[in-house]
Amino acid sequence: MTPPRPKDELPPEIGKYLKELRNSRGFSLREVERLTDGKISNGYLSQLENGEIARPSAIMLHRLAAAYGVDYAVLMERAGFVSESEAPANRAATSVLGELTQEEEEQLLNYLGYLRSQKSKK
Amino acid sequence: MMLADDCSISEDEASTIRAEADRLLRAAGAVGRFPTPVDEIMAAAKIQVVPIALDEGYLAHVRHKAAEAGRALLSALSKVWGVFDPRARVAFIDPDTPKEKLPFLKLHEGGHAVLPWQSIFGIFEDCRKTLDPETKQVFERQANVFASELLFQLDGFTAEASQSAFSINVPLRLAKRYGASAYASLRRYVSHSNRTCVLIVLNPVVLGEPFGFSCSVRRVISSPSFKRQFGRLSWPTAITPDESLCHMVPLHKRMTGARKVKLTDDNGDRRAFIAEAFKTTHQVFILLHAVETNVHPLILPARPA
Repeated sequence: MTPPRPKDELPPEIGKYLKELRNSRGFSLREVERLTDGKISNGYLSQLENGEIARPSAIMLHRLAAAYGVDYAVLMERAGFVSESEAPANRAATSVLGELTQEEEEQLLNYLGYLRSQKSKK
Repeated sequence: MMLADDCSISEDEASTIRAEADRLLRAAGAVGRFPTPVDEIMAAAKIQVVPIALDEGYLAHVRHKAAEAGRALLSALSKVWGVFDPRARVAFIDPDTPKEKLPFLKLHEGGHAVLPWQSIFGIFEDCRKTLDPETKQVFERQANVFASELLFQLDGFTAEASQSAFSINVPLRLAKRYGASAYASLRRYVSHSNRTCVLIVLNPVVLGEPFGFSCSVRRVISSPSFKRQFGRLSWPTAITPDESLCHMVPLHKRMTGARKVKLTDDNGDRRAFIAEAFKTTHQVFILLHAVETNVHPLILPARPA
């Protein structure tokens, strides 16, 4: 469980955004709980919307994206899990010995793209 | 640096991953089949497994544009054991991966495909965006848990293991049956045990001065019961002849037989453990389990009527 944030901190944008989304869909907290088969309790969502939970998990955001019919990637970005970067990193699911540098990852992704294009030609 | 234990994912994540693994095991008709039919599981998940191979023509093209880029590609391929391409649904696997590690590696890459919230990898591949490194690490741990649930057929391995007296030989024997590595089997044995036990995974022994030998601690895996009672116990970063567990390291043999050691629990009490050790080319494992104290019931004489 994500630890709650101190009350005096400003709620993160994601909480406010999620509340606006829920309201725009006309869902109550309990309806979201029902829609997600109880996976997102009304208490948890209330805390999240009020900024009392600093970091929801990716799995929770995925469930909310499905319930609200919004792009999961947008929620990930709003929550700060994905951000613009001069030197983008962690874009590939890899098992590596050590770590890939930014340039190594870039070249690996380009190579995967090339292999995909070769495969589609066959 | 000591690595985080895969058990550090949340209960919600663990139960969701388990449900996905259960669904896939059934779809592949893999329950109760040994060794676990990994290739059939990957086929049921509609994931193609392909050995990573370098296309020399592509490399020449990249080098022609920038020599540095060619070097980076070669370096990347030398580091990668597995990489999942979400758009083509292909798991690329290093063909030089040791045979015993292949099943787990394939299923790990499968986790990136099957766990729906990990679809983020395919969404922003072309953008100049970065996935938060902590989230990336969580995704990798989730893929490990997914692979372990499948390979050990949910509770199947643990149920079989519980039929035998606790010993390092049990997971080593079951590793062959399930088609798993010694490392994966020992981790599963301890992390799902209801005994008070812990597994210390060490990097291979380095002989030499000033200590005579040293093995750095790679990872410590605790059973839930061990965590509850010994949660504050700190482990050394390396085992050297100065450490109390040094006599457990099998230097010139493959195993060290059962010996008694003592650990201090969170209440400050010294508790007796049985330690055993096993060595592979890549790791040294020290398995410790608490000596069960059998409390015999006090039988009082019957009162005279």
